[in-house]
Amino acid sequence: MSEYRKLAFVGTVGTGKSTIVRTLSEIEVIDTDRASTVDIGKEFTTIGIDYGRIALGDNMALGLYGVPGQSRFSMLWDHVNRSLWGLAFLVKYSESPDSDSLLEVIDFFQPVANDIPFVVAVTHADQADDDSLESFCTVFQEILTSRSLPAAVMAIDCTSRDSAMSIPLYINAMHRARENA
Amino acid sequence: MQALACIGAKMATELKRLSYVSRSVADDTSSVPAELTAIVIQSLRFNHAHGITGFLTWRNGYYFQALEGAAQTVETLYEKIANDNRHYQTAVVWSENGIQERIFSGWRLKLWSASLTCSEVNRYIQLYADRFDSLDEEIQRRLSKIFQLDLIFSSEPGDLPDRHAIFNYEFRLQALPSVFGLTGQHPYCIDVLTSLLAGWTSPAQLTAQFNLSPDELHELLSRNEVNSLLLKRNAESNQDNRGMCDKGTFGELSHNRSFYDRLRSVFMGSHK
Repeated sequence: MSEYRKLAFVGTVGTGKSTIVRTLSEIEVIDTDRASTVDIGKEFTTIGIDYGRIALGDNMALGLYGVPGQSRFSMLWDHVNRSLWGLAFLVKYSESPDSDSLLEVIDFFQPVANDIPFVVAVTHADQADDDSLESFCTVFQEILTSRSLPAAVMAIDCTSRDSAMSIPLYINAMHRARENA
Repeated sequence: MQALACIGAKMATELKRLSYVSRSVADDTSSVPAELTAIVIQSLRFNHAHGITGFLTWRNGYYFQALEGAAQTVETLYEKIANDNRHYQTAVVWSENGIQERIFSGWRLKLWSASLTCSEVNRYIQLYADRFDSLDEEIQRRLSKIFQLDLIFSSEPGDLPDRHAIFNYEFRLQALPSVFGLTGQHPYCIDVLTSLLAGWTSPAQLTAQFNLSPDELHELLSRNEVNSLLLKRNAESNQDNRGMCDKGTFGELSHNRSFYDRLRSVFMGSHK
């Protein structure tokens, strides 16, 4: 492989980081899921980085990294920040989404200054009706606008390859749009 | 007694539109209120069950909401809203009984960003614009803070961006929340909207590039119309071997290969 880039999925507990890496990866995913010691609504949770990979022809491989979204894990953010090709912030659809974590991620990775395509992916949205989902996305779009960050907010089904592929497709399109600008 | 019964019956059927302004409890007035998502999702449920329509917007630490529905329901709802501890300093801006029709008939509760324009809100603003001067000065001040189009009109008065620039900006903003929000978006849609987002192309260029009429492009940006339009165009382009997908970012993709293979070919194409 002559080129290796990273696509990071950052999100708090239960947003679907491990699932999306598993869905997209061509190799067996190396994960750090461990049994939860407190009740967080699921049996296992990610305590480190999930790692998967997509080979892109003979010349490029894309590393897929699922990284915890809390700022106390910023040493892991440091690790994925080198050679970062794209950054997806995963947020679970709910009445109380974690927008503070989004701001921390934006402040750390500085997507505009570092020219990293960014996307907010709304997960677990299958129970939301269209109006609620649109409003949810509008709120996050406004948060991005308040940080002068032009990026998409898209709803993703982490278990569906086609749906999950929207993220690398979008990020690739952003790269190509810049090349053509 | 009979008169009271008549009033009660009238209240039950009469349509009312009530608008209010309030302050968010959020300390940071420059950011999006943390409670906003919960307010909207809860309101959508309530409004659907009680025949309420309208829109909610916020900016600079203030909320503004217009409610339409049966007079008694609107009044009861406003009392409940005024006592909600997620905002304060609630004040009625306009309250009108006996309205002939709803402006927001299709909106259970539209979360409207003040940086965008849309026909329903424009109609509402036009309807009430001439009553603005008669409002209390404090309410006028709050409304100015909410409805200022600071994102678009950031330059000094007299040095406003031209209409084309404004149109482009609005166009891109409109595209983002309503279209990307659909789960499992069609890749062509991502292609079109990324072009807009990146400022790569103007709407006029886009209509030519993707072989869409201006009306179709507007339709494309309307919620729930996106996939059906794109699929229709896609089917047409397959039939006559021309159309939007021939010229887009993903134009070289073959429909016979898997989605994943197509992605791979896009990457290989971009790294030749």
